[in-house]
Amino acid sequence: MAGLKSRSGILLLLAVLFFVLLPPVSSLLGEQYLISFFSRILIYALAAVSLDLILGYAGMVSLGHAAFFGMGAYGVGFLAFHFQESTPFLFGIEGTDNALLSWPFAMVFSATLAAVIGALSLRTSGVYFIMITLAFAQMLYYLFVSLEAYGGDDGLSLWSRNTLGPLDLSDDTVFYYVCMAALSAFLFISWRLVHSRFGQVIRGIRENELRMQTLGYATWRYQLVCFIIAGAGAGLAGALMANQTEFVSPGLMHWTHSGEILVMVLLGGMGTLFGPVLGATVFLLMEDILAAYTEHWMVFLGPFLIFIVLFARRGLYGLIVKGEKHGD
Amino acid sequence: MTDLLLQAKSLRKAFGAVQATHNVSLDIRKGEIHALIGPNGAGKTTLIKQLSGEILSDSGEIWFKGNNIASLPMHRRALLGIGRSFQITSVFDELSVRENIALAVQAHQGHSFRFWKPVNDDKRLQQATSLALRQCGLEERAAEVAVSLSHGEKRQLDVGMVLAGNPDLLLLDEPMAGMGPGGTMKMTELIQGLKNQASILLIEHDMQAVFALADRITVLVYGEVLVTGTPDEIRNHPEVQSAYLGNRNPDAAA
Repeated sequence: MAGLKSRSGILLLLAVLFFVLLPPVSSLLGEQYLISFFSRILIYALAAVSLDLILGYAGMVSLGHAAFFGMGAYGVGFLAFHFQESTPFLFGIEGTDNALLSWPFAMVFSATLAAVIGALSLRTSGVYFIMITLAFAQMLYYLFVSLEAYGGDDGLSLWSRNTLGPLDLSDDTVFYYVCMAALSAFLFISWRLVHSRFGQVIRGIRENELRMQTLGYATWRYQLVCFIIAGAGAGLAGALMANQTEFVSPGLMHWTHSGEILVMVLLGGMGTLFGPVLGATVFLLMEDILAAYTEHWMVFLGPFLIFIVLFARRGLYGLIVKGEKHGD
Repeated sequence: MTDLLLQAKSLRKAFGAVQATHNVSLDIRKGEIHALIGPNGAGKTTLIKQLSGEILSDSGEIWFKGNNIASLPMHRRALLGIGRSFQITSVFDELSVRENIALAVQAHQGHSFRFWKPVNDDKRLQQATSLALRQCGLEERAAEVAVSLSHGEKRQLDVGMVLAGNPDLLLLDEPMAGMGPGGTMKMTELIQGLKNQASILLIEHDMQAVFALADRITVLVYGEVLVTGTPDEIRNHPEVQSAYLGNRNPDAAA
């Protein structure tokens, strides 16, 4: 990782301090709602980082990433629902409210779906890839809208958050730190990933897929594995989101939701792991602040985004750390 | 027959009604430089793509080191030992020179589903990369981003990446395109030097270079092989002269 004297090192240090100190400071100021608001930011940051793996590092523009986010949320939702009803879920699997079971389940659920969608979508590239990922996500959206057993359009309410060993997730501060731990773990894993042999290969494919094949790489396999890893990451974010709101609905999979996650990545900086965290933070803060003045807050976000995309190739993160090497 | 490295038999490829290559048979001996010439649209690049696997042939066989590789995907052929450089220089612009070479090296060190160890700490990869960097003469520029290289250096890198895989056969598609006379001479020397490492199939428009380098020449016209022979045989072949060289002595023309 970049040394702590570099700008990215200082930024990272400040971000860690900020996020660690946020709950006690909010409590001190009596602004408790900030804790759950920033939990949401951490969750979206996790989703955005996972999208950045395929968008920024592997160069695959997916407009269906919210599908994996939503599937993760429903993974937790299904298990919680059957736990409440005391009915078996598919294949005799019992419902559960234990996070140690249902969160990995949510990740596997999303990853499996990503394997299927990815395997089919990766037969195409470019605009077709964008459209087909979008189409798959919308198909899932409508599938879940029509799943009456699980609330259909109205979604599914959870009675409570999951249990996680001795931790009380219903406490917002505890839940906040759990989200932070999940994001940190995923960031660390991603950081190792993009600097490994595998990471070099997906960057090579982004730059020039044909050349990679003539060098001897079965590019499709690497792209698919990357897509699956990103799907699992989004699944974890979805599982956290289901716990945060204690509610899951098909809206989580809607393409506009995919678009929002995409905007977070673009805003923060593609191909930079910490950029998407910054992007999610700025996006949700802008939404929160501007929405207090006007429901048409996108009117302000739009020009801002255009400005960033035109003048800062690697987003806000690129503006701050400028000049440092790609991927650090 | 044992001195044959590659043998293509009756290769055919049509794009709709257009026969790009038609019954092309061609063999490449171990250690030879085999030039492929012919007017524009003769199917030279199509043939290279068929041999490398970028496009699959409609019919025909390609025997390489004892295997029929005609239905193998491109990456499998690359791992078997067919290296290819492109007509348009094709490097990974945003990666450093070192990373470019490392990717070529890595491809031949087993699969790359290695997710955890940073490449910078990977001794086996970095040592082989340093060696390949020295061989293509880009050691000094290793840390530069590829996009900042000059045209000639990019060509060097392009060829360096192909060589890093220790191929037995090199497919070179117009390596001298867009080069000045100085660059052309340098590249001619470079290719001459490669001869000890690999057999070469060379597409080139620069006739002076072709006749200086090639052990044998195949002339392709309208997707069919007109003739294969030594430079002298090609030079004096009446049909070649009328079809391609325009009745001029290539030495005089160049």
